[in-house]
Amino acid sequence: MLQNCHLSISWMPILEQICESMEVDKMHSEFRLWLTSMPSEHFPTSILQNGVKITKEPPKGLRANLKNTYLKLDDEKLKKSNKPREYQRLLFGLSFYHAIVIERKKFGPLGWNIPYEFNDTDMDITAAQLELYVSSYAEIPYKVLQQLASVVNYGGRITDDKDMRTSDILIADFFTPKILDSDYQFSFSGIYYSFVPNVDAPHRSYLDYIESLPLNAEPEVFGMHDNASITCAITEADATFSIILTLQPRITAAGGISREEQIIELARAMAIMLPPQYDIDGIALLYPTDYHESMNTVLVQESQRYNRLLQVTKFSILSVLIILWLN
Amino acid sequence: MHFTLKELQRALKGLVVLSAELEGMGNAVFDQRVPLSWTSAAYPSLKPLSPWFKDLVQRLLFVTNWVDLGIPAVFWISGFFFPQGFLTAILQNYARKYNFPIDTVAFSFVMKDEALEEIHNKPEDGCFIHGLFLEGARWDRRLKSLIDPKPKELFSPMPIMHMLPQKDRPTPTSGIYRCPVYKILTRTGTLSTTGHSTNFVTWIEIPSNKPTIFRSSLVSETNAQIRFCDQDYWIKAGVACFCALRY
Repeated sequence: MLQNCHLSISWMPILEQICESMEVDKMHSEFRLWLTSMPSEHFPTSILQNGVKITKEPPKGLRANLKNTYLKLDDEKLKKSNKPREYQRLLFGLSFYHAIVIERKKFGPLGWNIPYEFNDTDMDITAAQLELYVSSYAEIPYKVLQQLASVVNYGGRITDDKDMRTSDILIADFFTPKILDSDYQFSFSGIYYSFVPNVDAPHRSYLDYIESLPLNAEPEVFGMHDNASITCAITEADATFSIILTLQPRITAAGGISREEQIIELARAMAIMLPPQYDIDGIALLYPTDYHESMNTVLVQESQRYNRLLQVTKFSILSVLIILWLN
Repeated sequence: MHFTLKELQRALKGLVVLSAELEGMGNAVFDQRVPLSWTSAAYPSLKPLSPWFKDLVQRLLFVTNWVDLGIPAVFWISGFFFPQGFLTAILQNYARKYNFPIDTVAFSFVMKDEALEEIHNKPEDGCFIHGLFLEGARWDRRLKSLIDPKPKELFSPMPIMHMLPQKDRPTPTSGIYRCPVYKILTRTGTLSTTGHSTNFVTWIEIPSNKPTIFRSSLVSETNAQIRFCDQDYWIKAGVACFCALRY
């Protein structure tokens, strides 16, 4: 059993050699090689092709995510705190927050600017702190809990200030005294609310409630407009198509005009549309650097930047045309 | 075609060395992708080759018109390589005109009702800009507020905006959404040596009638904690502005 192959990339070619040199008829009949790895470009393809593959993915969807969290809990764990009512409500809020931050990723940039790898350890540590703070203080320190979750635990992964703002806003809905109200709703639809668990068997009642939630969450639970599901579908389709595209053969069937002719045609069309480079000195004369008009400086700098780009594009269009014509 | 003889000579000389790069360029043109050598010399863009090229021609026209016709009444913000520099220039103009220290001057944002064709003159102070798109919301001229987008409309144009500098501008305490402006839809960028992001342009304040919340945040320039007013409704919806879309 070799675990975490993705962490020893340099050794992978050797592993490949070892696997290739294995001779089935000389080996013990009970011999099996188990390998575990994150998705990795460096994992040898030949081993993948010759092995039986099992993949484990985190559950997709808000409900599956919540269920995953609650399947790991039981009545004993839910009653651990000396304020079980508060603890249970806040823990459910935290689980919901956890599911939301993970599920927001499927909306692409609309959800998070950067797709962070939030995982169960973020949840576990926040839950442990929640239990500690709820049990040790007479009054629940909501502000502290918010900061710990949003800035320290989950925020430790967040590198973008705009995402930090999103995270702050999201946690404020769950770590709030309002979550103790039985009619406190997590979103406008009213499907998701601060559930009141059964006192004797809270675990079972939570699981039942989670089971009753819709299989596919609407964008509204994330505070998004319905249009977000279109964005989400586009993001998914883009990802699928880009994979399909990499599997496309490079050679295209010759039909009608050839590849070279097409490139020549396109390059020529572009060459005609490009204007000459800017006369920077002329522009600087017309729009001189002026204490009271900074826009002149902006114009000169912009035209310099565009000149550089023009030069690159023209140069390569021309080179391609010449080469293809020569051939 | 406008190629100079010198460029031609250089192209011919470069042929041998550049063949691998040119091969890539040919492939890119054929696949409707922007060649790598172009993207590295260009502004960030997500457009495939043909819209990318149209966009380039349009940007060049913006600069050419500026050169030929003088400073435009309304600036096409998407036409700038480096819009942050343009915004700083507006502040600088204002500060110098009234002899204010530039660090005491900040933008206020006025949404205009007029269409682009109706504006012929520059404002007294600041600049008019157009060309921004909103994702996740739209602007309502009548209510003067952000509202939910129309079904199936993913992006909507922002109105013409007056970037109006003010001295010692107090931070607003209600009625606005602090909206990030990016160049392209991906919303991620890298910091360049000037301290500017390659993608994030600036924060703008868009009037909106949703409930206000307050949030403390670090201001990167001064490293001071400032209490901003904001609207969680739009933050959760991921509302942002963009200079350019994907097509």
